[in-house]
Amino acid sequence: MLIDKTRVKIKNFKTPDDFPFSPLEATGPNVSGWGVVETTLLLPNSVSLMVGPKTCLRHSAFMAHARGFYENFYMLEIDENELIMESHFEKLEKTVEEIVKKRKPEILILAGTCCDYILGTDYSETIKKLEKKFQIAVLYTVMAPLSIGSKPSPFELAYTALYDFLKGKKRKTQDDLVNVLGTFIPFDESGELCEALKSNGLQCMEIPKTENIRELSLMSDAKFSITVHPLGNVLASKLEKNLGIRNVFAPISYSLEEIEKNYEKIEKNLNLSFNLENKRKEAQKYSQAVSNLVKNKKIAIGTSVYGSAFELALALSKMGAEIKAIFVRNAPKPFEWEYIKKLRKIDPDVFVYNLSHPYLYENYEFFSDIEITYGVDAGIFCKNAVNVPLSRYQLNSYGYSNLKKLFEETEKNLNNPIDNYEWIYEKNLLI
Amino acid sequence: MSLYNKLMPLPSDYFGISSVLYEFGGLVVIYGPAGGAWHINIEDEPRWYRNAPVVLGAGLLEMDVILGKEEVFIEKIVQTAKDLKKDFVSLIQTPVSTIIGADLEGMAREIELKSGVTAFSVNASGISTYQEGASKAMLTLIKKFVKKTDKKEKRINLLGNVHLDVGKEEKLKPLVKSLEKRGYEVTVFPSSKSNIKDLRKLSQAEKNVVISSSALESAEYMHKTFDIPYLVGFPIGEGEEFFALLENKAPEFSKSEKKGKTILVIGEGVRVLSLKKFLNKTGFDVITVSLFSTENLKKAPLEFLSPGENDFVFKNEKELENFLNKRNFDAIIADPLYKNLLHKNIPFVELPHIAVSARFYWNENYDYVGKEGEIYFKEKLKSFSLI
Repeated sequence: MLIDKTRVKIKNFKTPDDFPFSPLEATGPNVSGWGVVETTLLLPNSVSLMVGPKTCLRHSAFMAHARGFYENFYMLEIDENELIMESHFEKLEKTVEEIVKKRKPEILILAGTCCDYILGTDYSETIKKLEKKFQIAVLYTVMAPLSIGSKPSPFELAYTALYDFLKGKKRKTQDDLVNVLGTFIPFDESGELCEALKSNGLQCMEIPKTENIRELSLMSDAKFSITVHPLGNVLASKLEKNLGIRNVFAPISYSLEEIEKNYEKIEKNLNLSFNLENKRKEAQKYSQAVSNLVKNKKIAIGTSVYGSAFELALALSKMGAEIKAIFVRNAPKPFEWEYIKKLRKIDPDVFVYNLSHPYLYENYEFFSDIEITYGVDAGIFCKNAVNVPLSRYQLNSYGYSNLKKLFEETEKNLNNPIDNYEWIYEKNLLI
Repeated sequence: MSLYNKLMPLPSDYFGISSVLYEFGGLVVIYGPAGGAWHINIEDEPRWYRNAPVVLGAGLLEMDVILGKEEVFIEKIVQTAKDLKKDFVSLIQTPVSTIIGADLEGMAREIELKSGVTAFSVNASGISTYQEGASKAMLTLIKKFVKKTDKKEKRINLLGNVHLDVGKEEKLKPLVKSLEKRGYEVTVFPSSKSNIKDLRKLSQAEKNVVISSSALESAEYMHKTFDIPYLVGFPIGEGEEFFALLENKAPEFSKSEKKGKTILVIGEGVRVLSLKKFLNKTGFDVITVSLFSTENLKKAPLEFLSPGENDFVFKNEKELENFLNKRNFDAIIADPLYKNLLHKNIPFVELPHIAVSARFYWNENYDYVGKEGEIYFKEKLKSFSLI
């Protein structure tokens, strides 16, 4: 069957090479973009200017409009000749002048495209000139999917562009300051991680919460970073290597054991002690509540969920769910192999599907027995399932409070299901 | 339109090509980096949802570009076309493949040889406009698959059903029904109901109707090659003049008394001028803004639309924004995204245009063709007390 080419069983999935790579990419409306737009606009008082052919700009423009922050996102279209001859720098300068006069940003994120990547466009002199002339910080990133595999993804590159701003800013280390990396929106009111750090006399620095460039620059004075999403790993590594800011990777999790492990890691690395027993007890109740909802249900999970699809699969499997499919776009990240190893012991017959494989889209009936899907990307295949998005654009919790969110979202969608088509086309959730 | 902020850049030529080829059961391969096909499928191809894949990306990575691994991709495409039992393969250029000078024509020849499946490339740069791309795609299909045959009486082609301009194909139903009611057999091109083999019927038509600008070159070609005259435009309302032209009769003109009100219409050239004709007849003065020049529409052997003064094209978003806010209009008929440019309240009749706003308004309820179109616009204008 064609579908066999799109999947691998967990028991046979032991190295990245086992991943069912696709001959050609099939990406439907259920797949998200590169996140360059959201990442570049995380920074306070910032505007973004993307430069390139219209075809590259349109995609990012669409993201910006769908997310409602197009006003901070500018696109400068350049034609073939300008691209090859690098004759667009004057146009670029005039454009920046126009933007700066109108918006008065403190930071301008300049984004190039694959074309710049291949042609080796050198914006460095132009950037220095712009910074001097307009007294703004200019960060450069490139949306170049061409570089996947050989370099960090466009997503990671965009997030890491912040390093260029921070590297010159170090004053002196503040022992009580901790950066939290990998978030798009500030942690919610439960603020579990930051509250726990606060109780130990530490201040939490979240990028989306910074109000201006001065506050943002304090990040370079932090003593530690806690990275909660792999997106932040490259930045964390640069901060550690060059500014001496030690990093601990403690990713978003839904399994009680993994959450506990993460907190233990943080405690050990930062030499402190959390008192989270009450939170843990509450989380246990929510875990049981989720189990009541998902036990014996056939479930599929997509990579668009908040956190790791593999870790969520592990958590739900422990809660008694029958995991039938995990949809991902690439080989797992290094930290995810641990989850796969554990999942293999519980349920070796779980299938991992390549979301970008064209053969996967040939037969939607194949997944008609799935009852709940987590992730709008998985939802497109499972037309009879209740779709629980659990999207990073909806959730902003950390630690034990994730179990509460998982329960709330699952229950809400089981009680009032929203069609996958509506999630994608009306609510623009997965883009 | 060089600098964008409140509007989105328009789709490029390979979006137009893929829009035309989408319905024909083939494999459309965007020969570019990972993400090349995404740009189409995520925002501009709502027809994809829970259907078989059509537009795929080659997913070129850095080493593919440096080492030029065309043979590898040829094998991948051949295998995929065979496995998915596709009727044809089309290779489409992107900015990256243009820069590296990928020989897509040569690749297509090899794919055809190896797979036995018809393969071709449509000349594109990945940088020019979607209308140019759609135009080239239609012309390529016609030149490749349409041969001269005997004409059949009362057979009409509606050329230019490019979803980026037309929206959902069902929007054309009022026109198709009106034509069928008058005894015409209608072929819509391109169409979800046709396949590559059906294309040969196109040369049987006694007349062509160009419903969007990207079909102009094809209509011109068919006029010269198959002696099929064409008119540009579609009726909104009963369409007496339109049907008179089709039936070689002298049209009877009637116009309502002038209302002393001015409506601005923004959109694709054929659509805005068809709307202008209808609104003029209804007594309104009309100013149009087309995405691209409409000068070529004057070439049509059967005159229906007449671009002229008060028809504008703007070079950039800023110029358009200034124009919208400095002039006075009693109403605007345009894609909802243009509201972002307005600094003041003006009665606004929404007329979604996929090329402008992608899939945001794909499912909106609106009509713009035939009697249904007349009802839609009159009701909207009435709600603003303009009728």
